[in-house]
Amino acid sequence: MKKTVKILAIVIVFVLIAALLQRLLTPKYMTDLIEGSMVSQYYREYGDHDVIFLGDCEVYSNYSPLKMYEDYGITAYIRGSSQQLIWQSYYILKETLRYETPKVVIFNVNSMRYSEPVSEAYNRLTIDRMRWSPEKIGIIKASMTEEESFLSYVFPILRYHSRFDKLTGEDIEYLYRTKENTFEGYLLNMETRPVGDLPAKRPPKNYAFAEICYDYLDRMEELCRENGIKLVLVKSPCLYPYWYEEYDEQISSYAGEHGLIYYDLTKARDEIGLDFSTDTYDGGVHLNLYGAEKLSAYISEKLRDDLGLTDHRGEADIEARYIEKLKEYHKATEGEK
Amino acid sequence: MIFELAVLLAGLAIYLTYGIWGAVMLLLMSVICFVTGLFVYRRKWLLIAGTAVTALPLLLLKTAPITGLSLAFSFGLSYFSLQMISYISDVYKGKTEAEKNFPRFLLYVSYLPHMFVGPIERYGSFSLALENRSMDTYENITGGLMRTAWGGFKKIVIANRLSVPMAILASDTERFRGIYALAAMFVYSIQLYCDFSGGMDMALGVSKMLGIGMSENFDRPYFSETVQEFWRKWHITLGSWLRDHIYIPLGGNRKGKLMRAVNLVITFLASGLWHGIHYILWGIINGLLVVTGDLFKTKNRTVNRVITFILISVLWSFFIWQGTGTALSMMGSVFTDIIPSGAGDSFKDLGLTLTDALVLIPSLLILFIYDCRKEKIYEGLKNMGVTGRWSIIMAIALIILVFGTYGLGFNATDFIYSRF
Repeated sequence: MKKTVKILAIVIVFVLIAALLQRLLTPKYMTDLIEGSMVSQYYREYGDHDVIFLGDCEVYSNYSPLKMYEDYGITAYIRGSSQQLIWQSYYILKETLRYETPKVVIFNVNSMRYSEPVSEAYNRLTIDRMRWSPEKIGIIKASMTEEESFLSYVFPILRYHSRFDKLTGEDIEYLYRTKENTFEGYLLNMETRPVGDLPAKRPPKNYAFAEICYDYLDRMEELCRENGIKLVLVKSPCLYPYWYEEYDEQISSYAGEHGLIYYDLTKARDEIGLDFSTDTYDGGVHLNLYGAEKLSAYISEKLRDDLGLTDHRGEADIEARYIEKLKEYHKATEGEK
Repeated sequence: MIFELAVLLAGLAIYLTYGIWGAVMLLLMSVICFVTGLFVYRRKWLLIAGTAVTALPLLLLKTAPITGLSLAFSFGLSYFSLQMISYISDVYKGKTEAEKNFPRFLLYVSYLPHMFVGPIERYGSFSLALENRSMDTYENITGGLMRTAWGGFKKIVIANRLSVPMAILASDTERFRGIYALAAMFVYSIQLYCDFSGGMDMALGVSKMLGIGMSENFDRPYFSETVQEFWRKWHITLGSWLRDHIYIPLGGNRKGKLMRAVNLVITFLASGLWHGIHYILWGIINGLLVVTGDLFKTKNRTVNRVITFILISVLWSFFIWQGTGTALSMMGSVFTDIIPSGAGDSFKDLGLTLTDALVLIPSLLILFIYDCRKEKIYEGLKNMGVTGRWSIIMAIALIILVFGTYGLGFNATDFIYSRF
């Protein structure tokens, strides 16, 4: 008996040390690769949002939910992540519904062109910081590349053990604390790099979206329908990667068949007022703050006019929620415009 | 019996995860061997027929070009085929009684701890180990875990880390010649030892946890003073198998010095063939070195050890560079092209970092000290209290967890010797 107690005590100490090492060695995504922290920030900020955005960098770089609230009273949150694939969007939507039921879900359809996991590194940015739930298990299984193992998501030290020689101050500073890197899921960028020569077009041999992508789009559509949520499909207005007419036709046709709204914003650049000599931080791939605020105004008007979303400004509880966030937002963007 | 069935079923279940065809092959051969065993006693024709049938898949695997199909059938084949042959032979000679319980026989051939890298167990000793299974749960678990952890340290911390530069050295034969080839031979010696003996420690450790002792397969082989001694201490169970089933039936040392030498070379040729068709020359050279071993021996034991280590390391070239021609060319480059032109700072391109050096140097030092003082350390650990032993197990586990080379691009069950 005494022997067993001793062994148990030693094993417990080992587990505690291993857990501490795991925490130390796992990337914190606080000052470097901050895209990895976006998914988890939501757990500290969820609430009754009218709108939830889903998708890749074309959502978290291009829409400013705080601007949408400030100017239109629409409450929105972006649950985006780097190279978010459609099955990841589906599971993140499903997870979001555990916390709240928005009126509208806006899904950026850029990921329809990817039919298989792109890279382990992108998977990690989306999945690592998710809370454990059946959705996290689902997203891991759907996203893993061939060389990955499920166990390394359960015990990230199996993946990150070799980081011991790459540890920085960030790993100590954020060992037990965190900070918010986005504004309601919007990753602020105020730099400007005007569009120059874009890469030559390299149209795919086959434009048809893969069956698996339609399958997950169906699942998202069904999930929204069951929960009384309007699913809106959008394609961000960015110049690159190219969104071909053949892609557009397939989404239009899908939206028509399922009674969904589809905004192909690549065709609304002038209407939005985008100027790619000032509104992009990387030559037309993503929008900077100025472009994002223009696009946010445009989409807010669409949501108000086409879907009847109401203005929440003046509602005490909501205003209380936003007052500090707006202060922070203004502080971060002050003097730059 | 319940214990034996549980171990058998667990092993077969894991075996099945490597593909259905390997398991089908195992079952089919087990049935043939089991039935042969029932009738083979003093029936020479059945001994020959049974051995031929049992050896055929192995011979085909070793000599035919590797295909997806042959790989599907191959998991564990090298080990269980030799065990079956030794079983048939031992029953024929009356050294052991035929097993009449098929599940028990199947447990012998499919016993999972020895399926990846051996050891090649004789039925008699396995059966005895099973009957005399240790019931001291604490000692089984503690001792087994210690052995497994030590094996994991050798395999995951040392061998896997060395596999990164070795993969580069082995693949670019144009650039990494001469001094790089020489370095590759010595690095590979250490990698192979840590990989193989580490895997063996893990196998023996797992078996010990089940209370079943298995034969040792290594006895500090790199401390050998001659090539002959090396082969008594490296892959011991294969050496015993070759001695009992090839060397002695050929006449052993009973027919004079010349025939002894011929028999030794033939035995090593067979060893080469067991590794694969490309290793025949390697086998013959080893055989010749065993025969002429004393020629290299000096009065200084350390010098003898160094010479033996160099000879063995150079011969591992056949394992590093696939294909006899390439191996010979790389060995030759050490003399003809010691500083290869255009190699420049190629050492920097071997994928080794300062961190690797900082992990490898103390790890190799620990390994060296352990091998030098094995008995004393072993005794010390055995007499240690619960706290000490379990603290050591957990400390090794933590070292493996953090300093091991595993994860993306590495398969935990990928041992160099499981390819043979």
